[in-house]
Amino acid sequence: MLKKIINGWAKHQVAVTLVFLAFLILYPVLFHSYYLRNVAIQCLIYSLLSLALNLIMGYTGIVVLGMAAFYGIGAYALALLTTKLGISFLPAVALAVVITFCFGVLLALPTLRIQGNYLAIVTLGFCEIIRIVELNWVSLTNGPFGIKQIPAPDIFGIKSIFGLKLSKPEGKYYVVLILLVITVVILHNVLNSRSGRAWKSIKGDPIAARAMGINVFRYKVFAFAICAAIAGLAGAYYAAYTGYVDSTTFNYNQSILILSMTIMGGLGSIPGSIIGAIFFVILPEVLRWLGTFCGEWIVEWRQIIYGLILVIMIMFKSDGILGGFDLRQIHLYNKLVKEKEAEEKQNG
Amino acid sequence: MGETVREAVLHCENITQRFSGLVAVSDVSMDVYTNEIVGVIGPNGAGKTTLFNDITGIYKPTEGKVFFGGEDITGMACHKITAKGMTRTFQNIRLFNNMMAIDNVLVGLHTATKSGIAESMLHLGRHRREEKESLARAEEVLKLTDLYDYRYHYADSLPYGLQRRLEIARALACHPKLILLDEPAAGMNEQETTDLLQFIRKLKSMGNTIILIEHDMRLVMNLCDRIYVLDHGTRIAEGTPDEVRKNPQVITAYLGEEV
Amino acid sequence: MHFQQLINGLAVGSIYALVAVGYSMVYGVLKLINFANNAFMVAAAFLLILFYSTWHLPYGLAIILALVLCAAGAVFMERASLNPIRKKNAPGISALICTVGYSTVITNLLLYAFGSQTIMVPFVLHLPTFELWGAVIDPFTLIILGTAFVLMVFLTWLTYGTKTGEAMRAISQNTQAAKLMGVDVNKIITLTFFIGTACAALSGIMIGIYYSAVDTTMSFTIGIKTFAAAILGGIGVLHGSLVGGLVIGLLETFVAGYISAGYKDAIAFIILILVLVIRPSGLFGKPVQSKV
Repeated sequence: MLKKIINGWAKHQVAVTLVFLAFLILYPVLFHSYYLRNVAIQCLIYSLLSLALNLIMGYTGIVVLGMAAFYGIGAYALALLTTKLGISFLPAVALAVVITFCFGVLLALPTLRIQGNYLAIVTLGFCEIIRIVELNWVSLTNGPFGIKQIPAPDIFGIKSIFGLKLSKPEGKYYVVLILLVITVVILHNVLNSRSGRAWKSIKGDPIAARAMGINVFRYKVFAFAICAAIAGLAGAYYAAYTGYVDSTTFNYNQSILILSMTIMGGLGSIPGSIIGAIFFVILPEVLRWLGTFCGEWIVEWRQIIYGLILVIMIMFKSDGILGGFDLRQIHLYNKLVKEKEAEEKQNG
Repeated sequence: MGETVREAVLHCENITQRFSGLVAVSDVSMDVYTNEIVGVIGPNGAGKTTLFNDITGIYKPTEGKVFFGGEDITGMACHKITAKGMTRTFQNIRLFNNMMAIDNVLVGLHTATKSGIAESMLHLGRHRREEKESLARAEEVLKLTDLYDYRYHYADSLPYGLQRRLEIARALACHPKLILLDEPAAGMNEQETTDLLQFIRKLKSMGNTIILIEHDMRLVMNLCDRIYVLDHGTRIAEGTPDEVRKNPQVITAYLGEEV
Repeated sequence: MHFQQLINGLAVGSIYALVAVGYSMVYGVLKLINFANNAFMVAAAFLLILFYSTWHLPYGLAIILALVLCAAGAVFMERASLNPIRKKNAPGISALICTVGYSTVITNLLLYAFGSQTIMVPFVLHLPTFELWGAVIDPFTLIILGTAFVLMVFLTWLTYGTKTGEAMRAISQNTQAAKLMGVDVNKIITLTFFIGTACAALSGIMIGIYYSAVDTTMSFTIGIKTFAAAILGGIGVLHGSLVGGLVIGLLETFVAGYISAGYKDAIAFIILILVLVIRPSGLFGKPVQSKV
């Protein structure tokens, strides 16, 4: 069943992507509710985060448990740049991305030499250090009170285009949609290139990758830093979207949520990450809705359900729903098989 | 070999490799010249693969020096040595199982291309040109190794013999100056071994220089120009297949086995 | 003042050491970072509260029940999830993520059952504090130090002086060979989980009594510190975990006492990163070279 769907999807990849994109573009036109638009924005933010983690974990094979650290650095960077220095949204986002990229490199340089599993814990420790700093460096971050009144997205001071107010949910929605589309295009390009293959080969067999002339360490550092930068982008947008940041958003549970999304959706699959993000954003909303029928308890069970999904997923399909399905490969493979069959028929 | 002075592609000088007290390779010297096929043989545990690892930079030799194309590459990082034109295969196949056959070969072309991450992200000119060239070369190599019909298969879905061949294809892609094959015939049946023998001959006729570790004596004796024999980490003989076959030390080392 | 800090540091450190041993034992046998270890640690303190304060069971029985339940939980995790994952030859990260999942489930079950506020952990003995060299000493710290010492001796004996320990070390060297030599691998792994988790659970109870409070966030904050302790000493090495735990406990106490209480929790991670950078195999671990 799944196989059939995926074969069809692989065949009409471009069409499916375009239809989905059209749906995303029309979404605010179709759904007017404030609530539904905000849920959609959450889906897109988490898609960015899940994609970021997928780059490092799904493609390069490095487990990162502290994604919230970079998410938080990006958010605080934008908050500080806009409120303290008065820089406008776009350059502040760009700077936030650069800053998280640098943090990624700084953390990667000393720690990526560490063998596999330790690194996961180091990133978790890093996440905790960042959270503690966010909480305790009161003069910079305002400590537990957080940073308030972060200006909404604008384009060099322009606050609305074509009558679309960027401070309203529909405006904010299009901002994050554009950020996500740019990210997906860039990721798609790089993953099907020399560098992308280098990353995949490191996941496949790091020793053979070295023997093929790949500077494994350097590629790992870049994968890590780009992962950090994308998470930073999500964080920067998040800060402008909510107008408020504090350290409680960027904790361990946040990291685990992002991890669940990436694993659930599928390691090494871009659409997988987006599906995973949508699933986990909608899940609590569905639970809340179910709560009106069977009691509030189910909403409180949210985190427990996340954990259970993680366990069950890992046990039965450890690389996620779309993991192991490379649409490009499936398409090429099926085409090749068909050509072969036609050839054989011709030859009798 | 004659007296004509040929510069060695590879020149190993007194290589010793110790692992916390255990001597895996002891004082081994070796030369490989252009367009030669050199065999490295010896009983199990003789230190053949360790020698390969020392040459290719996966290990750093405890003592001794390795020169490649006249340049001292001792202790140089593995990927840098590969970039200088030395590629290898592995005894226990190490393909990228998460990738298609053609992508495996494209990884083999990593050192032949230059475009960086940013260029690929933005789909710039050099990236596009290199992708096109790489793809053409990868297809060429896949045709040469009779793997073209399997180009979109995942590496681990290929039959064993083809996986071995794909590993050679991957090593061959970037026009290396020297190829090290670690037991290419391991696990192959008679027919596959014969095919492999002809294939390696073809590689030589195309101008490649090859070192090979092999247990299959028929292959080694039919293929190699010269053979080095290792036993317990030391070099016990060197010469043409005929010389090696008659060497009493070699016969003792292989006692009971037909050389 | 210094002496006071030293005693406090030693007490906290020896508790950390016991949790770290839990990590170390499982890692030694399976090369797996058992993320759920810290969740079980906190669960034990909560179970004690449940059994003693709510159900009014005798104190000793309540402790033993809490320990056994936690250890049994870990065994369940191993049997139900980790063992099948190993059998499938899934990549190493799968098992790690699976334990992360368990840790999330357990911590949030506790959160659901007990709420997020800090709860007092009961202690029955009311021992008078006394003064020594200018420091006020809670006799409970002595109980902690004593328990930690006795357990460390026991574990060292178990690992290096018994058939079971020999089997553990054999599996850690080469699982396949150990199996061929007639070691019942699954039984030993189960036992390792049981003992390791029981140690962590006991530490959870002791830390709950020591701080006279427990809350679910401790699963993360203390769990990750004890992991840092295990790595610092060289994960898989028992005496390494002891030293690692003590070092982190002492440093943390001194940082809190002399530098800043807010950054107390960060010190373990900074040490962790520094150690991994300078000496990835830890103070007592042997560097490993991957075989080609």
